[in-house]
Amino acid sequence: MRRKVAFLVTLWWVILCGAIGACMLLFAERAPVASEQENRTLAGLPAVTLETLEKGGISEPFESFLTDKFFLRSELVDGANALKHIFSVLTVDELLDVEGEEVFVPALDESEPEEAAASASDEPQAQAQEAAEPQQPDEEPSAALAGDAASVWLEHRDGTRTTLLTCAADELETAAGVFNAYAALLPVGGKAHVLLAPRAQTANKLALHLETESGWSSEAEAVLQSLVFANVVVHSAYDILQAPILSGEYVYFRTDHHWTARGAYLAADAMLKSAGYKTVPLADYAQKTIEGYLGSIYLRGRNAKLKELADSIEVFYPLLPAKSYRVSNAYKKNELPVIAEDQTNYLVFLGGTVGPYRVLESGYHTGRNMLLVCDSFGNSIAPFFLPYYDSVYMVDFRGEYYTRRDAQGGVREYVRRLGIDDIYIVLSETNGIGSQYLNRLMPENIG
Amino acid sequence: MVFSSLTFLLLFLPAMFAVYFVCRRIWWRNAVLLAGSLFFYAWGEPVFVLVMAFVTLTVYAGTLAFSAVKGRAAKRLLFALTLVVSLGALVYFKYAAFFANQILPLFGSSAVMQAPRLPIGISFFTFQAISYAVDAYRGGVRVQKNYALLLLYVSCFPQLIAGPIVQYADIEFELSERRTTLDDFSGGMRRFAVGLCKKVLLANILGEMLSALPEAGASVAAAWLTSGVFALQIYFDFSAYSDMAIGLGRVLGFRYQENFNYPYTARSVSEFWRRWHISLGQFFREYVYFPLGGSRKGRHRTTFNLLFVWSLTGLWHGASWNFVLWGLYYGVLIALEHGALKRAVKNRPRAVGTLLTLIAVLFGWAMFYQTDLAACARQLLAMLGLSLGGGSLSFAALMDDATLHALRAYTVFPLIGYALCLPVLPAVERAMRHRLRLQRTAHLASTLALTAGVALSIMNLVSDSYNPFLYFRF
Repeated sequence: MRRKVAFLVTLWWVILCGAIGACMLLFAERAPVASEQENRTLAGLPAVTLETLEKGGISEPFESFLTDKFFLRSELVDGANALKHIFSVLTVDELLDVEGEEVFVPALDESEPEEAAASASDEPQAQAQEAAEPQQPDEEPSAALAGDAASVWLEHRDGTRTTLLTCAADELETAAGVFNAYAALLPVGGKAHVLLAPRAQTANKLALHLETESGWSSEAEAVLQSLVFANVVVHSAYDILQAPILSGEYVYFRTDHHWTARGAYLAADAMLKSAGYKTVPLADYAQKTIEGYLGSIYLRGRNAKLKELADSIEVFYPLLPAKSYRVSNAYKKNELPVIAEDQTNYLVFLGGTVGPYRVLESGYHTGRNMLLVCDSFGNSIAPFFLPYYDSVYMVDFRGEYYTRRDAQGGVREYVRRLGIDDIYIVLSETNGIGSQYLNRLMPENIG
Repeated sequence: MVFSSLTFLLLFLPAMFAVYFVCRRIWWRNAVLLAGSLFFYAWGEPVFVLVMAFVTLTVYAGTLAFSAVKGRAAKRLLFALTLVVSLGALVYFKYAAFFANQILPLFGSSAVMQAPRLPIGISFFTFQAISYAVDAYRGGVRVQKNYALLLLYVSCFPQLIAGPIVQYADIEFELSERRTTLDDFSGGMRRFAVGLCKKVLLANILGEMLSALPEAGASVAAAWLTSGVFALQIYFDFSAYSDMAIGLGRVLGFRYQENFNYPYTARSVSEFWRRWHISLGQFFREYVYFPLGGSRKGRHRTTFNLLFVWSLTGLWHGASWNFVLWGLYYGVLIALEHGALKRAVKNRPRAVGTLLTLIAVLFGWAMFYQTDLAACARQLLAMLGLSLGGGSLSFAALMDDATLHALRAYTVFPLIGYALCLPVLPAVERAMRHRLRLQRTAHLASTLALTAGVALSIMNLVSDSYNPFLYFRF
């Protein structure tokens, strides 16, 4: 009897495995899918050709397809990692710090990085000089850069400080060149605003340790400001967000690398005020809260301890009904959400990134349009620009979302055809100074 | 194809079993098994199926030829030719570039030979083919006149790419007559499940810990932990493959010999090697060491034979000087155990013997793990508490941050690993089975544990993607 039971249990397992395998082949999504949650493209069913079969190139992609498209993958990965980490004695701080790198896939061909880097440093300057309205930097670059680098400091309550980030002088010069090139695309009176935001991993070194940390400061923005044209305003996210963080405002997620919508509002508010706008108080926006959000930092390591730090997402609705569309070749295409009601994660903001461009139509008649050059940090900040512009155009050059073929024109053409008055550049530190996004993708997609 | 992959678990294995067990006649079953095995191999390396088929064809034709001739000299010549040709593929793919790159500079040449892509499992299937040829030459087995059956012996998917090295004599009868009982099916699959859990839940996670450790010369702790964790990883990885192979073999009606017997409980290095990769030790003993005269031709010749065989064992693991060094290290240790230290080894307390053997083995794994000789030297020095900086020796740091971080992240896994290296679970199960009342509990507990283990393994496979076995590269 026992033998038969053992045999039946074993047979049941084999049949179950076979059934799952057959269902995977029949019903699993066969196309590759970009997963914003995992920050990568989930593998599709590989094409079986004579060439791939001959070279043996089928086995690993096929295995990737099975693992990536496995039923309830997210829950299974969650469970497996929770079990793996259950006995780990790492502290939450160590986990928050180590396990949260943002993965970035550049769009351009990697085969000629040196040429690309060269063009990154030369082209923006050249384009800036070609611009119709040359505007000179406030100071000479050499005078502004006294040292070799500019740092971001975390200041401790005992009076000492440690370095959070350091930007090399040449990287700052390259970045300033790119910002100038973008500002040079604008019509007379147009302004370019730049804000480079820290990620949560950096911000939480202050926000989660208020008992030992007293603040932070950054030298980079002042250096940048001294290198850029007069119509470029470099905002310091560190200055803007310090006071709210010190007063305990919920400005950054704990388990996700993004800022919260509240943090995004503070940044937008500061930039708009500097542009002379009288801004709408956050309290005037209708709001909802999504509880139990576990973001990218959690998803990377899926540590059970981080689960206890689950975030809540505050969502602020536009004051007037806004509409959003995908934009290709400077024409509106399909409609997209402004607030994605079916999402319970960061995708709630605009339903995630959609390329190559998108537009938010505000319902206001201000006679002005803006372009937001951003990464995913832009998704939560964009709605706060709506009351001040007719249309908020957005572009995210990251390879998952942007192709030049789909965009057709470069930024120069878009600015002209769409009647852009101001450009806002809002990037996270991952895509900031010294990054491929800023050094390669932004200059190479100007036009 | 990898046993611990979803492709194998969800598609290949159920389909293979379904077709295999639908067939009732042995001829059809062999045909299904051969076709499945070739597909199994071709899934990752289609072109190299031809290499395997060629090696098999060589021994097939060779054995037919030398068994047909009458004269002793002609027979010997054909046998030698068979060995040379069948070893030729292994030498070309695995060693040609290594030896060429050692020899060419001696003649002033700056040319570098690129190593060709290595067919997976070439060392295993070549050795199986050779063992058949030698046994046929010695008259130990009947010459196989059916090429397909010989190809099935060489390519049978459970043991194809990472052993155990199955001798033809062991399955000669089963190739033409075998059956699978209910016990064989459930017992074999249980063994497979044990292997799957060892590979996915222990070896892979220990591998993650190993990659989190710093360069082994960073501190004394890093050096010892690198060796210790690698010792566990390679044991659970390789023995897991053997478990899965033996289990699958049993389901298909083959009885493969055990390949591991709790090697880390050995009291001497010689005993360690009687418990570790048993089929390889047996191969070298029967086909190299004994023909050289073994230990019957005097002390010096025995020492030479041991060093020669262990150099070959090292080289078998890879064409790299660290493997040669590793092999010679064991050759020297075993020669000492058989010679000068024979009495000391015999008389020392069991615990002392086990501890000293373990330390010797950990030094051995340092040589095996570090394929770069400079890194190998740094790790060995750090294990001795020394560090080589700026050309002078100094004391190494005891601990470093990265090692501490890895220890904190994976805290219990090495401990679980070391516990499972001891024959604790079988002892508990045996004790329970001997008591009638506990028999059912023991069975239920092991079934539940394995069910949970397989479910967890699939969960881990979903999150970890591709995870080949370490012994694939040999």
